[in-house]
Amino acid sequence: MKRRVGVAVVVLALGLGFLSVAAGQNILTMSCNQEFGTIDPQRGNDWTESMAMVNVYDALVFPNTAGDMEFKLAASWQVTPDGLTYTFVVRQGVKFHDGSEVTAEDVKFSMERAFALKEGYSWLWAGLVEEVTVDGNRVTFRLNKPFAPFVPSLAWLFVINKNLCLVHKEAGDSPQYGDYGAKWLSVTTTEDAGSGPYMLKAWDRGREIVFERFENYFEGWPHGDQSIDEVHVLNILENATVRTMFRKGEMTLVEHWRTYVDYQEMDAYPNGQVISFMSPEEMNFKINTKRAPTDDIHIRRMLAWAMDYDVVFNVIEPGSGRARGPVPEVIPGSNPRTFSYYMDLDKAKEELQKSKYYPDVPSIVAVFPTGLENRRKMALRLQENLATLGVKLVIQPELWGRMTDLATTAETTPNIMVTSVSANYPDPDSYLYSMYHSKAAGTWMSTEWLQDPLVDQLIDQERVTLDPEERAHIMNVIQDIIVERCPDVFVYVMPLRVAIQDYLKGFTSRPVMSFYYYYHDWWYEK
Amino acid sequence: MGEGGGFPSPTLSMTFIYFLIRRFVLSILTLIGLSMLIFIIARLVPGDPARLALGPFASQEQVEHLRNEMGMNRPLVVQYVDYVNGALHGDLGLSFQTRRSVSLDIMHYLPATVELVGAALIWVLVLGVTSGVLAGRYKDTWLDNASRIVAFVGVAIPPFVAGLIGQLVFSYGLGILPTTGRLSLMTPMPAVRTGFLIVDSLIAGNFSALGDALIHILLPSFAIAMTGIGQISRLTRGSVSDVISKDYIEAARMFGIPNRYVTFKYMLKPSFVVPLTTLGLTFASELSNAFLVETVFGWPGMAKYGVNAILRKDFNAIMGVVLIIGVAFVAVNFIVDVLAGYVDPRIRIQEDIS
Repeated sequence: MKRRVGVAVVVLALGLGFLSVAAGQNILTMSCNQEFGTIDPQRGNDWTESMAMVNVYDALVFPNTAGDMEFKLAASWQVTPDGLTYTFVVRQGVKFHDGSEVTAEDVKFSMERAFALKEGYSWLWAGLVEEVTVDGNRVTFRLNKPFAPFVPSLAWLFVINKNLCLVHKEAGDSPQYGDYGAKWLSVTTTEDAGSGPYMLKAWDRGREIVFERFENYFEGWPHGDQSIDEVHVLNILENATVRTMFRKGEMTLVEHWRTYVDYQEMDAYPNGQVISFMSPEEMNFKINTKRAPTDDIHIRRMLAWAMDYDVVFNVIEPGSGRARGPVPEVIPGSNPRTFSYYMDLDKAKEELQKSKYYPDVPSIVAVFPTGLENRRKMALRLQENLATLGVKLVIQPELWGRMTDLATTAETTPNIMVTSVSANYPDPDSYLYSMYHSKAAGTWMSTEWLQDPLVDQLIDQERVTLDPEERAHIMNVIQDIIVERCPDVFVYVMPLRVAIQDYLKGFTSRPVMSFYYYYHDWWYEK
Repeated sequence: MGEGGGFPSPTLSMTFIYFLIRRFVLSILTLIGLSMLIFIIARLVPGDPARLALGPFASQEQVEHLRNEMGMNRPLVVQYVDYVNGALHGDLGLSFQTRRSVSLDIMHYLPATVELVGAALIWVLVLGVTSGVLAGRYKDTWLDNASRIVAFVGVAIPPFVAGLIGQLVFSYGLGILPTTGRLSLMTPMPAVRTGFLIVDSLIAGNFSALGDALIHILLPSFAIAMTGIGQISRLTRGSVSDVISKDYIEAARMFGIPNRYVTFKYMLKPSFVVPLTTLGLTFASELSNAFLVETVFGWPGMAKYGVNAILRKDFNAIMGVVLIIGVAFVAVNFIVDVLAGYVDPRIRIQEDIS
């Protein structure tokens, strides 16, 4: 008898399980290929963490489609002629999710918190911002040297609720602020300290994170009942699973980390489409200019002439854009007249014959991240072309962790690292400084080890030049010089593709990582 | 026959007790060795975990600050002693990735994996043993041949491939089973008490969530179990066909005991010793299969957490995951040894014969 009752319970439960019915809200589901480590606005830095921060928190400014900064929490700003003092007027009446008002004091606290935790995007302002002061609803940043991209960089200073952080503070390094509420934000799964259009509703780590609409968001909801009420970001690694869910209509949006074949298939489904736009991410063969034989400029130019760019654009990465120097064209300030190499084996041979290593050129080692097969294919094609010139290219896959280790010194960095770089703020300085300035050496972004005094001087100069035209001219010159020095084979600009259900409207591209996943833009037309 | 006539009274032999004590001590030593080995290996994995956690733009000062915060600049021996001391108090250190306690992370992810592997073990026991018994009982009939084919297919197909095929057929094709996850989006999550969704649903009386959770666990657990079902089925079949020819089985039949009782009461127990001792290995195999199956089904378990930890050189998390798996493996094998003694009295009882 007991056994029969037990079986009946299970059968009933299975039946009820089948009957689970969706609620009537506008629920959006999107996939992501990696977990959210944290959504603390002063700690997060990768693409998923940044996406959460962009939606749950607000900053003083926000990038538009062209990459120009628009007002967000700031109603206006002024900068002194010497470029050392920036004053922002903070909007009044903006509410945090707990109902309290956003003040200039919260902005100041957010910057101080960034410096105290020493994580996330604090590197943007470390050694630059000397003091932050508050006067009513004005917050003033005093810099110790001019920094032309300062306002774009503030898109990453997400404003956090100071009072809420201090209510939850625990013991820490600061006598006054303890741990700045860092531990609370690292463990809570239902609370946040933001003012953004969405609030953290639930977080089942490894499974999904859920955001719900903040009804009192200061910018309102122009699409009313068609706006997205809830966003479920599902952590799914397997591409086949994501495609199946998209086909069945269970996934509203598939993020940009799937393969080209996946997007081709999803674009053919009757219920969806694939949106493609140029990203600020560029894929280059980054050449170590301090290691033989690529320390010879002629060898580097030989590589640039020997790359089969057409195979990349037409076969390996269809839809990608031609790279024009180190700065992708979606970034305001990219030089439109920078020289672009094309495949010409005769010119490659000419450069080879000018090299001091000719005719006994040592092997060139190219390293790419394990699993990224398209990069291996590009390297193989280059290897074929170089073989016709009598030059050996050795292709090695490496774990990403190993690559970051190798990048720490010029001696351990291989001749070529096949990696992609992106901008943190829509300004050429984000690429130029991180990749080529001597002070930025030692990371996977700067494996060129260029260490060129002229380039350093020009980058330092553009950073302190406040006149836009003069600065644009300097940056154009830097880009031309870099192409001339040939520390990279600039291959392609990566297209970003997302698959969306037909009823999702409003997807807006922006040239800053994760700012294109701004849920407030979107609405449903069903 | 013992002294004074009658049957000897069975007692737990001292030999078996000493055996269990010895196994227990060896288990502890194994775990200590494992902790040392994984401590070193985790630190040999390429990459600076602080740099990987903070991103390429972080200044060297920031990287050093995080390294100091995580105790990375202390001597290795000091780090190990501190780690072991913390582990014995339930503190497995901080995760670079999540910035919170690894113990907390594991408490979050472990139940999902245990539930999945547990469900897979149930499939193995029920289907594997049943098909093995029937195949052995009806040896060389169509039933035996069908069982053989199913077993070989189960062993030959990698679990993650089985999972993908299952998704294709049942989720995409027939639309009767979910594609991914532990619970449907619209099913409210029951209050977390144990972390085992099925148990929590029962406790909460939330039959909607219970049903949903059972439906979600069907495919991934079966995918993991397929290899074990095949192995246990063949082992059981071999044991049964060996036992079925014994005199006492024939004697039981001659006494008129129904076939059902003969099969499941008198044949199963002695036949089960060999498959039982293999269960420990089956469990280990299921744990390793879980890594890929969790990926296919988006199952938020410890396997995924472990893979991420390795890729990001989150060595506290790596150590935590490996130690937990090690403890589980050692514990399961210890339990198997005890159960083997229960199932086969010859192992635990020593009669005094004089």
